Amino acid sequence: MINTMPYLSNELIFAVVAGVVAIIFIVLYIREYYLRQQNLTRPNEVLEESEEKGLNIIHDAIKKSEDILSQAELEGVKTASSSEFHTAKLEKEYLEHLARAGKQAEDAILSVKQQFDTFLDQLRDAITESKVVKQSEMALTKTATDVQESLNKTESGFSQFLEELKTSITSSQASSQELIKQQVNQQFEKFEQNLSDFLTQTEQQSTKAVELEVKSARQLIDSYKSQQLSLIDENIVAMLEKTLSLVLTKKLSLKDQIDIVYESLEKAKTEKFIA
Amino acid sequence: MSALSDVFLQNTYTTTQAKRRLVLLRFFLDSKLFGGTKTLPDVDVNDQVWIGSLNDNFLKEFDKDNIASQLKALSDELAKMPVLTMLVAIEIPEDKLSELGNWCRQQFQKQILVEPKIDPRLIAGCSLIWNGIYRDYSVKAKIEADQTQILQSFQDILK
Repeated sequence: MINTMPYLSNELIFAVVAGVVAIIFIVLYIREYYLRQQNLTRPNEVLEESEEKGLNIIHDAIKKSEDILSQAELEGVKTASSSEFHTAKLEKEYLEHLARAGKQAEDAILSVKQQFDTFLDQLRDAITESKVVKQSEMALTKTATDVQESLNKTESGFSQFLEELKTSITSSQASSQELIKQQVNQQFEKFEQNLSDFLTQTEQQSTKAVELEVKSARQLIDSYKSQQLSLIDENIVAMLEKTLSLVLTKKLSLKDQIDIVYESLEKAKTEKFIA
Repeated sequence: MSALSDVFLQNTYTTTQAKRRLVLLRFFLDSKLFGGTKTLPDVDVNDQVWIGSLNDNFLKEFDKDNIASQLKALSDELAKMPVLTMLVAIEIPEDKLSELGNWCRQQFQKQILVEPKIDPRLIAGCSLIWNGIYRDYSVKAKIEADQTQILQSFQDILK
Protein backbone atom coordinates (compact mmCIF):
# COMPACT_ATOMS: atom_id res chain seq x y z
CA MET A 1 0.00 0.00 0.00
CA ILE A 2 2.70 2.25 1.01
CA ASN A 3 4.65 1.30 -2.09
CA THR A 4 1.78 1.75 -4.49
CA MET A 5 0.60 5.10 -3.25
CA PRO A 6 3.51 7.11 -4.60
CA TYR A 7 3.08 5.39 -7.86
CA LEU A 8 -0.60 6.10 -7.96
CA SER A 9 0.01 9.54 -6.74
CA ASN A 10 2.53 10.18 -9.45
CA GLU A 11 0.24 8.86 -12.16
CA LEU A 12 -2.58 10.89 -10.84
CA ILE A 13 -0.49 13.95 -10.48
CA PHE A 14 0.80 13.41 -13.96
CA ALA A 15 -2.72 13.12 -15.27
CA VAL A 16 -3.84 16.09 -13.30
CA VAL A 17 -0.83 18.08 -14.36
CA ALA A 18 -1.35 17.04 -17.93
CA GLY A 19 -4.95 18.04 -17.71
CA VAL A 20 -4.08 21.32 -16.05
CA VAL A 21 -1.41 21.98 -18.63
CA ALA A 22 -3.86 21.18 -21.33
CA ILE A 23 -6.43 23.47 -19.78
CA ILE A 24 -3.88 26.23 -19.33
CA PHE A 25 -2.72 25.76 -22.86
CA ILE A 26 -6.26 25.81 -24.05
CA VAL A 27 -7.04 28.87 -21.94
CA LEU A 28 -3.93 30.57 -23.23
CA TYR A 29 -4.86 29.58 -26.71
CA ILE A 30 -8.37 30.91 -26.23
CA ARG A 31 -6.98 34.05 -24.72
CA GLU A 32 -4.58 34.40 -27.59
CA TYR A 33 -7.38 33.60 -29.93
CA TYR A 34 -9.60 36.20 -28.36
CA LEU A 35 -6.80 38.66 -28.34
CA ARG A 36 -6.23 38.00 -31.99
CA GLN A 37 -9.92 37.98 -32.56
CA GLN A 38 -10.09 41.33 -30.90
CA ASN A 39 -7.37 42.52 -33.20
CA LEU A 40 -9.43 41.52 -36.18
CA THR A 41 -11.55 44.44 -37.03
CA ARG A 42 -13.69 42.78 -39.59
CA PRO A 43 -15.45 39.48 -38.69
CA ASN A 44 -16.17 37.09 -41.42
CA GLU A 45 -17.90 33.84 -41.79
CA VAL A 46 -14.74 31.67 -41.87
CA LEU A 47 -13.41 33.10 -38.65
CA GLU A 48 -16.77 32.77 -36.94
CA GLU A 49 -17.06 29.20 -38.07
CA SER A 50 -13.52 28.41 -36.91
CA GLU A 51 -14.18 30.12 -33.66
CA GLU A 52 -17.32 28.11 -33.15
CA LYS A 53 -15.56 24.84 -33.98
CA GLY A 54 -12.65 25.70 -31.73
CA LEU A 55 -14.99 26.55 -28.91
CA ASN A 56 -16.85 23.27 -29.37
CA ILE A 57 -13.61 21.26 -29.43
CA ILE A 58 -12.32 23.00 -26.34
CA HIS A 59 -15.62 22.51 -24.66
CA ASP A 60 -15.60 18.79 -25.52
CA ALA A 61 -12.00 18.43 -24.40
CA ILE A 62 -12.67 20.13 -21.12
CA LYS A 63 -15.72 18.00 -20.57
CA LYS A 64 -13.85 14.78 -21.34
CA SER A 65 -10.89 15.72 -19.19
CA GLU A 66 -13.22 16.57 -16.34
CA ASP A 67 -14.98 13.22 -16.79
CA ILE A 68 -11.62 11.41 -16.84
CA LEU A 69 -10.42 13.27 -13.79
CA SER A 70 -13.62 12.63 -11.89
CA GLN A 71 -13.54 8.98 -12.86
CA ALA A 72 -9.88 8.74 -11.88
CA GLU A 73 -10.60 10.35 -8.53
CA LEU A 74 -13.52 8.04 -8.01
CA GLU A 75 -11.42 5.10 -8.91
CA GLY A 76 -8.67 6.26 -6.59
CA VAL A 77 -11.11 6.69 -3.70
CA LYS A 78 -12.57 3.30 -4.39
CA THR A 79 -9.14 1.75 -4.54
CA ALA A 80 -8.02 3.45 -1.35
CA SER A 81 -11.13 2.32 0.54
CA SER A 82 -10.88 -1.31 -0.41
CA SER A 83 -7.18 -1.63 -0.21
CA GLU A 84 -7.03 -3.76 2.79
CA PHE A 85 -9.02 -6.62 1.45
CA HIS A 86 -8.39 -6.56 -2.01
CA THR A 87 -4.97 -5.15 -1.93
CA ALA A 88 -3.36 -7.61 -4.16
CA LYS A 89 -6.35 -8.20 -6.29
CA LEU A 90 -7.31 -4.76 -6.48
CA GLU A 91 -3.81 -3.62 -6.83
CA LYS A 92 -3.74 -5.46 -10.06
CA GLU A 93 -7.16 -4.33 -11.03
CA TYR A 94 -6.29 -0.94 -9.85
CA LEU A 95 -3.22 -1.00 -11.88
CA GLU A 96 -5.16 -2.28 -14.76
CA HIS A 97 -7.80 0.32 -14.23
CA LEU A 98 -5.16 2.89 -13.70
CA ALA A 99 -3.44 1.67 -16.80
CA ARG A 100 -6.67 1.82 -18.64
CA ALA A 101 -7.45 5.10 -17.07
CA GLY A 102 -4.02 6.31 -17.98
CA LYS A 103 -4.46 4.91 -21.38
CA GLN A 104 -7.86 6.39 -21.62
CA ALA A 105 -6.39 9.61 -20.38
CA GLU A 106 -3.62 9.26 -22.86
CA ASP A 107 -6.15 8.37 -25.50
CA ALA A 108 -8.26 11.22 -24.40
CA ILE A 109 -5.23 13.43 -24.38
CA LEU A 110 -4.22 12.06 -27.74
CA SER A 111 -7.73 12.48 -28.95
CA VAL A 112 -7.76 15.93 -27.53
CA LYS A 113 -4.37 16.42 -28.98
CA GLN A 114 -5.54 15.16 -32.31
CA GLN A 115 -8.62 17.24 -32.08
CA PHE A 116 -6.43 20.03 -30.96
CA ASP A 117 -4.11 19.38 -33.86
CA THR A 118 -7.10 19.17 -36.10
CA PHE A 119 -8.30 22.27 -34.48
CA LEU A 120 -4.87 23.73 -34.94
CA ASP A 121 -4.95 22.69 -38.55
CA GLN A 122 -8.38 24.12 -38.93
CA LEU A 123 -7.29 27.10 -37.00
CA ARG A 124 -4.22 27.30 -39.15
CA ASP A 125 -6.46 27.02 -42.15
CA ALA A 126 -8.70 29.56 -40.62
CA ILE A 127 -5.69 31.65 -39.89
CA THR A 128 -4.54 31.00 -43.39
CA GLU A 129 -7.96 31.97 -44.55
CA SER A 130 -7.80 34.82 -42.19
CA LYS A 131 -4.45 35.52 -43.76
CA VAL A 132 -6.16 35.46 -47.08
CA VAL A 133 -8.71 37.74 -45.62
CA LYS A 134 -5.92 39.64 -44.08
CA GLN A 135 -4.18 39.70 -47.40
CA SER A 136 -7.44 40.73 -48.88
CA GLU A 137 -7.73 43.21 -46.16
CA MET A 138 -4.16 44.14 -46.74
CA ALA A 139 -4.93 44.24 -50.39
CA LEU A 140 -7.99 46.16 -49.54
CA THR A 141 -5.96 48.21 -47.20
CA LYS A 142 -3.34 48.53 -49.84
CA THR A 143 -6.08 49.22 -52.29
CA ALA A 144 -7.56 51.60 -49.79
CA THR A 145 -4.09 52.96 -49.26
CA ASP A 146 -3.62 53.14 -52.97
CA VAL A 147 -7.04 54.58 -53.28
CA GLN A 148 -6.19 56.93 -50.49
CA GLU A 149 -2.89 57.66 -52.10
CA SER A 150 -4.66 57.99 -55.40
CA LEU A 151 -7.19 60.12 -53.67
CA ASN A 152 -4.40 62.02 -52.06
CA LYS A 153 -2.66 62.22 -55.38
CA THR A 154 -5.95 63.12 -57.00
CA GLU A 155 -6.58 65.59 -54.24
CA SER A 156 -3.09 66.93 -54.54
CA GLY A 157 -3.50 66.84 -58.32
CA PHE A 158 -6.85 68.44 -57.95
CA SER A 159 -5.38 70.93 -55.56
CA GLN A 160 -2.56 71.47 -57.99
CA PHE A 161 -5.09 71.62 -60.75
CA LEU A 162 -7.08 74.06 -58.69
CA GLU A 163 -3.92 76.03 -58.04
CA GLU A 164 -3.05 75.88 -61.70
CA LEU A 165 -6.63 76.67 -62.52
CA LYS A 166 -6.54 79.52 -60.05
CA THR A 167 -3.26 80.65 -61.52
CA SER A 168 -4.65 80.18 -64.99
CA ILE A 169 -7.83 81.98 -64.06
CA THR A 170 -5.80 84.72 -62.47
CA SER A 171 -3.56 84.86 -65.51
CA SER A 172 -6.56 84.62 -67.79
CA GLN A 173 -8.33 87.26 -65.77
CA ALA A 174 -5.27 89.43 -65.93
CA SER A 175 -4.89 88.77 -69.64
CA SER A 176 -8.62 89.30 -70.11
CA GLN A 177 -8.44 92.52 -68.18
CA GLU A 178 -5.42 93.49 -70.21
CA LEU A 179 -7.20 92.46 -73.39
CA ILE A 180 -10.35 94.31 -72.36
CA LYS A 181 -8.21 97.25 -71.43
CA GLN A 182 -6.47 97.09 -74.78
CA GLN A 183 -9.80 96.71 -76.57
CA VAL A 184 -11.27 99.56 -74.58
CA ASN A 185 -8.21 101.62 -75.36
CA GLN A 186 -8.48 100.61 -78.99
CA GLN A 187 -12.19 101.47 -78.96
CA PHE A 188 -11.39 104.76 -77.34
CA GLU A 189 -8.65 105.42 -79.85
CA LYS A 190 -10.97 104.40 -82.66
CA PHE A 191 -13.71 106.56 -81.18
CA GLU A 192 -11.30 109.44 -80.85
CA GLN A 193 -10.12 108.88 -84.40
CA ASN A 194 -13.70 108.68 -85.67
CA LEU A 195 -14.63 111.72 -83.63
CA SER A 196 -11.59 113.54 -84.95
CA ASP A 197 -12.42 112.51 -88.50
CA PHE A 198 -16.04 113.48 -87.98
CA LEU A 199 -15.03 116.81 -86.53
CA THR A 200 -12.55 117.33 -89.34
CA GLN A 201 -15.17 116.41 -91.93
CA THR A 202 -17.72 118.58 -90.19
CA GLU A 203 -15.22 121.40 -90.05
CA GLN A 204 -14.38 120.91 -93.69
CA GLN A 205 -18.05 120.72 -94.61
CA SER A 206 -18.79 123.76 -92.49
CA THR A 207 -15.84 125.57 -94.00
CA LYS A 208 -16.94 124.48 -97.45
CA ALA A 209 -20.52 125.53 -96.70
CA VAL A 210 -19.32 128.85 -95.33
CA GLU A 211 -17.06 129.28 -98.32
CA LEU A 212 -19.97 128.46 -100.62
CA GLU A 213 -22.15 130.90 -98.71
CA VAL A 214 -19.42 133.52 -98.89
CA LYS A 215 -18.91 132.76 -102.55
CA SER A 216 -22.65 132.93 -103.16
CA ALA A 217 -22.84 136.16 -101.18
CA ARG A 218 -19.89 137.53 -103.08
CA GLN A 219 -21.48 136.51 -106.35
CA LEU A 220 -24.70 138.12 -105.22
CA ILE A 221 -22.81 141.22 -104.20
CA ASP A 222 -20.87 141.20 -107.46
CA SER A 223 -24.08 140.68 -109.38
CA TYR A 224 -25.75 143.46 -107.43
CA LYS A 225 -22.66 145.58 -107.85
CA SER A 226 -22.52 144.92 -111.58
CA GLN A 227 -26.25 145.59 -111.83
CA GLN A 228 -25.86 148.79 -109.89
CA LEU A 229 -22.80 149.73 -111.90
CA SER A 230 -24.65 148.87 -115.07
CA LEU A 231 -27.55 150.96 -113.81
CA ILE A 232 -25.13 153.73 -112.95
CA ASP A 233 -23.49 153.37 -116.35
CA GLU A 234 -26.86 153.50 -118.00
CA ASN A 235 -27.75 156.45 -115.88
CA ILE A 236 -24.44 158.00 -116.70
CA VAL A 237 -25.10 157.48 -120.39
CA ALA A 238 -28.65 158.70 -119.97
CA MET A 239 -27.38 161.67 -117.99
CA LEU A 240 -24.73 162.25 -120.62
CA GLU A 241 -27.32 162.06 -123.37
CA LYS A 242 -29.65 164.32 -121.43
CA THR A 243 -26.84 166.73 -120.72
CA LEU A 244 -25.63 166.72 -124.29
CA SER A 245 -29.19 167.07 -125.52
CA LEU A 246 -29.69 170.07 -123.31
CA VAL A 247 -26.29 171.58 -123.88
CA LEU A 248 -25.59 170.83 -127.51
CA THR A 249 -29.07 171.79 -128.59
CA LYS A 250 -28.42 175.23 -127.21
CA LYS A 251 -24.75 175.46 -127.89
CA LEU A 252 -24.60 174.05 -131.39
CA SER A 253 -25.35 176.58 -134.09
CA LEU A 254 -27.79 175.90 -136.91
CA LYS A 255 -24.93 175.50 -139.31
CA ASP A 256 -23.30 172.95 -137.00
CA GLN A 257 -26.57 171.11 -136.67
CA ILE A 258 -27.07 171.05 -140.43
CA ASP A 259 -23.46 169.95 -140.96
CA ILE A 260 -24.01 167.08 -138.58
CA VAL A 261 -27.21 166.20 -140.49
CA TYR A 262 -25.20 166.16 -143.69
CA GLU A 263 -22.65 163.88 -142.01
CA SER A 264 -25.49 161.57 -141.05
CA LEU A 265 -26.79 161.55 -144.61
CA GLU A 266 -23.29 160.87 -145.93
CA LYS A 267 -23.07 157.92 -143.60
CA ALA A 268 -26.45 156.65 -144.82
CA LYS A 269 -25.21 157.06 -148.38
CA THR A 270 -22.02 155.19 -147.53
CA GLU A 271 -24.04 152.37 -146.02
CA LYS A 272 -26.35 152.49 -149.09
CA PHE A 273 -29.31 152.67 -146.75
CA ILE A 274 -31.29 154.46 -149.47
CA ALA A 275 -30.98 152.55 -152.72
CA MET B 1 -44.07 160.59 -163.41
CA SER B 2 -46.00 163.10 -165.49
CA ALA B 3 -44.81 166.45 -166.67
CA LEU B 4 -47.07 168.14 -164.16
CA SER B 5 -45.43 166.45 -161.28
CA ASP B 6 -41.98 167.14 -162.63
CA VAL B 7 -42.73 170.83 -162.80
CA PHE B 8 -44.55 170.75 -159.46
CA LEU B 9 -41.62 169.08 -157.70
CA GLN B 10 -39.09 171.60 -158.96
CA ASN B 11 -37.96 173.48 -155.83
CA THR B 12 -40.39 171.37 -153.79
CA TYR B 13 -38.44 168.95 -151.61
CA THR B 14 -40.52 168.20 -148.55
CA THR B 15 -43.91 166.70 -148.05
CA THR B 16 -44.95 169.78 -146.09
CA GLN B 17 -44.02 172.01 -149.02
CA ALA B 18 -45.83 169.72 -151.45
CA LYS B 19 -49.07 169.70 -149.44
CA ARG B 20 -48.96 173.42 -148.83
CA ARG B 21 -48.05 174.20 -152.42
CA LEU B 22 -50.76 171.90 -153.73
CA VAL B 23 -53.29 173.94 -151.76
CA LEU B 24 -51.60 177.11 -152.97
CA LEU B 25 -51.80 175.89 -156.57
CA ARG B 26 -55.54 175.14 -156.14
CA PHE B 27 -56.11 178.65 -154.86
CA PHE B 28 -53.99 180.09 -157.63
CA LEU B 29 -55.77 178.15 -160.38
CA ASP B 30 -59.21 178.87 -158.94
CA SER B 31 -58.42 182.51 -158.86
CA LYS B 32 -57.00 182.43 -162.38
CA LEU B 33 -59.72 180.32 -164.01
CA PHE B 34 -62.79 181.41 -162.10
CA GLY B 35 -61.74 184.84 -160.91
CA GLY B 36 -62.66 186.18 -157.53
CA THR B 37 -61.18 188.12 -154.75
CA LYS B 38 -59.68 185.25 -152.92
CA THR B 39 -56.23 186.09 -151.75
CA LEU B 40 -53.67 183.63 -150.53
CA PRO B 41 -53.44 183.93 -146.76
CA ASP B 42 -49.94 184.28 -145.29
CA VAL B 43 -48.19 182.98 -148.34
CA ASP B 44 -44.54 182.32 -147.73
CA VAL B 45 -42.07 184.21 -149.79
CA ASN B 46 -40.58 180.99 -151.07
CA ASP B 47 -44.01 179.79 -152.07
CA GLN B 48 -44.67 183.03 -153.86
CA VAL B 49 -41.40 182.61 -155.70
CA TRP B 50 -42.40 179.05 -156.49
CA ILE B 51 -45.78 180.12 -157.87
CA GLY B 52 -44.08 182.72 -159.92
CA SER B 53 -41.70 180.18 -161.31
CA LEU B 54 -44.47 178.03 -162.79
CA ASN B 55 -44.37 178.42 -166.52
CA ASP B 56 -47.30 178.80 -168.91
CA ASN B 57 -47.07 175.29 -170.25
CA PHE B 58 -47.75 173.97 -166.79
CA LEU B 59 -50.65 176.27 -166.23
CA LYS B 60 -52.19 175.50 -169.62
CA GLU B 61 -52.69 171.95 -168.48
CA PHE B 62 -55.47 173.20 -166.21
CA ASP B 63 -58.78 174.60 -167.35
CA LYS B 64 -62.23 174.94 -165.84
CA ASP B 65 -63.23 171.45 -166.82
CA ASN B 66 -60.22 169.41 -165.70
CA ILE B 67 -58.90 171.40 -162.81
CA ALA B 68 -60.32 169.06 -160.23
CA SER B 69 -59.23 165.91 -161.98
CA GLN B 70 -55.79 167.27 -162.74
CA LEU B 71 -55.26 168.38 -159.18
CA LYS B 72 -56.45 165.01 -157.97
CA ALA B 73 -54.12 163.22 -160.34
CA LEU B 74 -51.29 165.46 -159.21
CA SER B 75 -52.19 164.83 -155.62
CA ASP B 76 -52.27 161.11 -156.24
CA GLU B 77 -48.89 161.22 -157.86
CA LEU B 78 -47.44 163.18 -154.99
CA ALA B 79 -48.93 160.69 -152.60
CA LYS B 80 -47.15 157.91 -154.44
CA MET B 81 -43.80 159.69 -154.27
CA PRO B 82 -41.10 157.93 -152.20
CA VAL B 83 -40.75 159.71 -148.87
CA LEU B 84 -37.59 159.85 -146.79
CA THR B 85 -38.56 160.58 -143.20
CA MET B 86 -35.81 162.59 -141.57
CA LEU B 87 -35.81 163.01 -137.80
CA VAL B 88 -33.69 165.92 -136.57
CA ALA B 89 -33.01 167.38 -133.12
CA ILE B 90 -34.00 170.93 -133.87
CA GLU B 91 -36.34 172.67 -136.26
CA ILE B 92 -34.53 173.42 -139.50
CA PRO B 93 -35.58 176.40 -141.63
CA GLU B 94 -37.33 175.59 -144.86
CA ASP B 95 -34.63 176.93 -147.09
CA LYS B 96 -32.16 174.63 -145.34
CA LEU B 97 -34.63 171.81 -145.68
CA SER B 98 -34.86 172.55 -149.38
CA GLU B 99 -31.10 172.35 -149.62
CA LEU B 100 -31.16 169.05 -147.79
CA GLY B 101 -33.94 167.82 -150.11
CA ASN B 102 -32.04 168.91 -153.15
CA TRP B 103 -28.94 167.14 -151.82
CA CYS B 104 -30.94 163.95 -151.28
CA ARG B 105 -32.34 164.08 -154.80
CA GLN B 106 -28.83 164.51 -156.13
CA GLN B 107 -27.37 161.73 -154.01
CA PHE B 108 -30.21 159.22 -153.80
CA GLN B 109 -33.17 159.60 -156.16
CA LYS B 110 -34.47 162.38 -158.35
CA GLN B 111 -38.07 161.84 -157.32
CA ILE B 112 -37.98 161.90 -153.57
CA LEU B 113 -39.65 163.90 -150.86
CA VAL B 114 -38.23 164.55 -147.44
CA GLU B 115 -40.58 164.50 -144.48
CA PRO B 116 -38.86 166.33 -141.61
CA LYS B 117 -39.74 165.48 -137.98
CA ILE B 118 -38.28 166.75 -134.76
CA ASP B 119 -36.86 164.48 -132.02
CA PRO B 120 -34.85 166.43 -129.44
CA ARG B 121 -33.42 163.17 -127.96
CA LEU B 122 -31.23 162.82 -131.03
CA ILE B 123 -29.03 165.71 -129.77
CA ALA B 124 -27.66 166.34 -133.25
CA GLY B 125 -27.57 164.74 -136.67
CA CYS B 126 -30.56 162.77 -137.93
CA SER B 127 -32.19 159.39 -138.05
CA LEU B 128 -33.88 158.14 -141.21
CA ILE B 129 -36.90 156.01 -142.05
CA TRP B 130 -36.88 154.56 -145.56
CA ASN B 131 -39.38 152.03 -146.78
CA GLY B 132 -40.41 151.30 -143.21
CA ILE B 133 -36.84 150.73 -141.96
CA TYR B 134 -35.52 152.95 -139.20
CA ARG B 135 -31.83 153.71 -138.87
CA ASP B 136 -30.29 156.14 -136.46
CA TYR B 137 -27.29 158.23 -137.51
CA SER B 138 -27.62 160.83 -134.79
CA VAL B 139 -25.17 161.81 -132.04
CA LYS B 140 -27.34 159.82 -129.61
CA ALA B 141 -26.69 156.65 -131.60
CA LYS B 142 -22.98 157.44 -131.66
CA ILE B 143 -22.99 157.89 -127.88
CA GLU B 144 -24.78 154.58 -127.37
CA ALA B 145 -22.42 152.86 -129.80
CA ASP B 146 -19.42 154.27 -127.98
CA GLN B 147 -20.98 153.77 -124.53
CA THR B 148 -18.24 151.43 -123.29
CA GLN B 149 -15.45 153.75 -124.27
CA ILE B 150 -17.29 156.69 -122.78
CA LEU B 151 -17.85 154.83 -119.50
CA GLN B 152 -14.23 153.77 -119.46
CA SER B 153 -13.25 157.35 -119.96
CA PHE B 154 -15.51 158.35 -117.09
CA GLN B 155 -14.05 155.64 -114.89
CA ASP B 156 -10.54 156.75 -115.82
CA ILE B 157 -11.48 160.26 -114.90
CA LEU B 158 -13.04 159.13 -111.60
CA LYS B 159 -9.91 157.18 -110.71
